[in-house]
Formats: sequence, C-alpha cells, structure tokens
Amino acid sequence: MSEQGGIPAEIRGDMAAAERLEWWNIGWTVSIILVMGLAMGSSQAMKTAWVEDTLGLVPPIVFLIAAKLEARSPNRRFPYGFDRANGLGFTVAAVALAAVGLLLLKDAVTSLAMQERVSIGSARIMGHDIWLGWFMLAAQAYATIPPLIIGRMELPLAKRLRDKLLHTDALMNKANWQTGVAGFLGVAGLGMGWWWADSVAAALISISIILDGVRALRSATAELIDGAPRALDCNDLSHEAEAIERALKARFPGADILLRETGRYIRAELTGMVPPEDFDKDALDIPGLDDRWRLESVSFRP
Amino acid sequence: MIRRSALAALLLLGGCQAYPRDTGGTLDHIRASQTIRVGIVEGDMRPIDRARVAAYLGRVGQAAGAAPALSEGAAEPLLERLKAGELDLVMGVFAEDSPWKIDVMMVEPIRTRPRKEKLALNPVARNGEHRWIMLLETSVREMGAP
Repeated sequence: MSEQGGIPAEIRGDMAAAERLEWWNIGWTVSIILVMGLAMGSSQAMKTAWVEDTLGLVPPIVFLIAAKLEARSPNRRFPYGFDRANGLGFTVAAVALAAVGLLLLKDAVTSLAMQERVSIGSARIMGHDIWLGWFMLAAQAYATIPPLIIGRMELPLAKRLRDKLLHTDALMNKANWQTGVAGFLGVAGLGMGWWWADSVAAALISISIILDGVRALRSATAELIDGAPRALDCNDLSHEAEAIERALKARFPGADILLRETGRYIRAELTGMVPPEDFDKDALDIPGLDDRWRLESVSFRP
Repeated sequence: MIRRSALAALLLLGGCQAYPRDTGGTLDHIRASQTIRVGIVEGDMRPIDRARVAAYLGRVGQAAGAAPALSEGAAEPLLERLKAGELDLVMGVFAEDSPWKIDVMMVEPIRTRPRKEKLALNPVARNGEHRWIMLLETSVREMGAP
C-alpha cells in the first residue's frame, strides 16, 4: 500500500472520521486553554494545569500532519512512502504524554516538600466580592468534559485503524480529564483549608499518566528501531503479527521470518528463501488476521 | 423526603457560608481572641500612609469584630513572623515586584505612590488564609481610592 501510496480503501472512512475528531479536539482544547488562562490567577496548580492542557495540543496536531503525509505517494526523495510518519508522530506524542506526567509530578512533589500554601483571593463583580476559587472550580469542571468525551470517541477509531498515535492522543485526553478532576479536587480542598490537597491529588494522578507515557514510549522506540510489531495499548507483541508469522512459517517452513511495523502496517521479510513464482500474499490464508490491509508486504531475501 | 432534602440544603448552605476556610484558621482565631496582631513596617511610612493604615485597620477591625494590637519593626523580621503565624497582618510600603510576593499574599494596596516610585502601601497576609484575605480585600475596596 505504501509504495503505491495512500490510505487503504477499507479504512478511509475511519481516517476521515479521526481527522474530523482531531480538529474538534484542537478546537475544544484551545477553548479550555483560554478559559483556564482567564481563571488561573496566581495559582501555581492552575498554571501547571494550563501548561499540561497546552501540551495536549501536540498529539492531535501531529496526527493531522502525519495523516496528510501518509496519504502522499512515494517519490524520489521518499521511495518507501510516508507510512512511518504515523510512527514518528507516535514517538512525539508519547514524549508529550510522558512530559505532562513528569511535569505534574515534579510540581506536586516540590509543593509538598516546600509546604507551599496557595492563596486564592477575590474579585468584585457587580458589587459583590466573589472568591476566585469558584471560577477556578468552574474552569476545571469545564476542562474535564471535552477530553473525557473526545478520548472515549478516539479509542474505537484507534483500534480499527491500528493507530498508536491516535491511541496515545486518547491517553493524553485521559490525562487531561484526570488532571481536571485533580485540579477540581485540589481547589476544593484548598477552600477547605487543606493546603496539601491539590499536590496530593496531582501526584497520584501523575503516576498513572507517567506509566501510560512510558508504555507508549517503549512501543514507539521499538517501532523506530524496527522492533517486532507491538500491540496497540501495551508493549506486548501484536497478536496479528504472531498470526502472520504462524501463517508464513506454515507456508515456508525453512525460512527465517522477520516482522516489523511501519506506522499501522506490518511488513514481513523471509530470509533464506527464493521467492516462489506464484506467491500472492493476498491469497495467503492467515487465521487471526481479520484486516488484510495490515499486511503491507512480504519480501524475500535469499 | 422533601423535609430531608430541605434539611440537607440548609446544612449545605450553612457549610457554604463558612467556605472558603483559612488553612491556618486566622480569621477564626481573630474572632475568638477579638485581637488582630498587626505588624507595621517602620521606615518609609509617611503621615498620609499612617492615616490610611489607621482608617483601614478600623474597617478591618469592625468587619472581624476585633481590635488591632500593633507592633513595629523592619520588613523582613515582620514578614518572617507573619509566615510563622505570630502575626495576622503586616502593613507596609513594598515594591511592585517585591520577591516576597511568592511567600506571602500582598493584598491590593490601600495607597500607591507616584508611578516613578513603583511602591505601594499593602496589607500583607499569610498564604492560604483565604477567608481572612477576602475580608482584607473587601475592606480595601470599601475604603476606595485616597
């Protein structure tokens, strides 16, 4: 598919849906950044949440760029096409996700170690003095809703497209709504006089985000250095890759089979084999591989 | 069912009136002791500043139901005592970009110096004392500009 360029017909509908969803994601994230920016005041916790929300723009922007590149045909400068644009984007998104978690943890630990107390003052609005914490609570509540909805919509698309970049964006949205909940509980706790509430909530949630980020990074780096294809949501070997390997071993018992991933596609290389004249990879029976577009190519190296 | 819901709503409202709370319980302590422990930064306090401070402390005392107990000193020791909880309020002239803004809460000024000086007469509270800070801010706004 990649040497001919473009997205397989079987997944064009889902790719178009994913691209639309990512534009909505960017729009909602920008609105959250604006609302949080207006509400954050001098609160360090809110400032950290604002930075994390801004980092949340990285995966959807990278996805849209990668999708445009992937649709291009190979050319003289890129004879293998642009399948790996998705893999590169996956690495960038994984770094952004891990960075969000580490930033949150660093800030939380520093605040707890320094026993930092945050002051939230008031503003006079239409003759009434209103505690700014109410605006922060409203902003945090608003910041929770779009990523919760968009992340859940992204997951089934990521599974059908075998798109690790889109899956990482779903994890970023999960990180964002969890941060929103932590921020909400933190501000609410500050109002109760619990100076540690915000930092403790942020620290607990950051651990989950860091684990997701590290998992994504491991899978992304494996792909970049031609590791065996990984599952969508963890570092285990892909069941589909194992199914392809079994089918090729059965068809070519004497060959060494090397599998790697280029974006959402799997490429197989058989070493110690002369290519048979009548071999058609599309006719090969592969139990356990429902979507044939996943197997990009089968090549032979004598 | 309706009575229980009404009771729950009343309790919640009662709780809301006490929200936000002070981390160190400053306002509760002031109301219980009927005393506001105030540190006045000596040095660059002009007669007009002292008049504004006196008027301001009168408002704050009325709102808190307490009388100020004054002590004077240099800025750094007073701010350290404020951070340690030995004072409830510090009044002084501070720079607009004072590094102390990270460690304490500088409330809106009750008087600003001419622009070129970039100084203001600020009430200063301990960080995290939300309810007390709100009272101080309300008192500044009700005083209005000099």
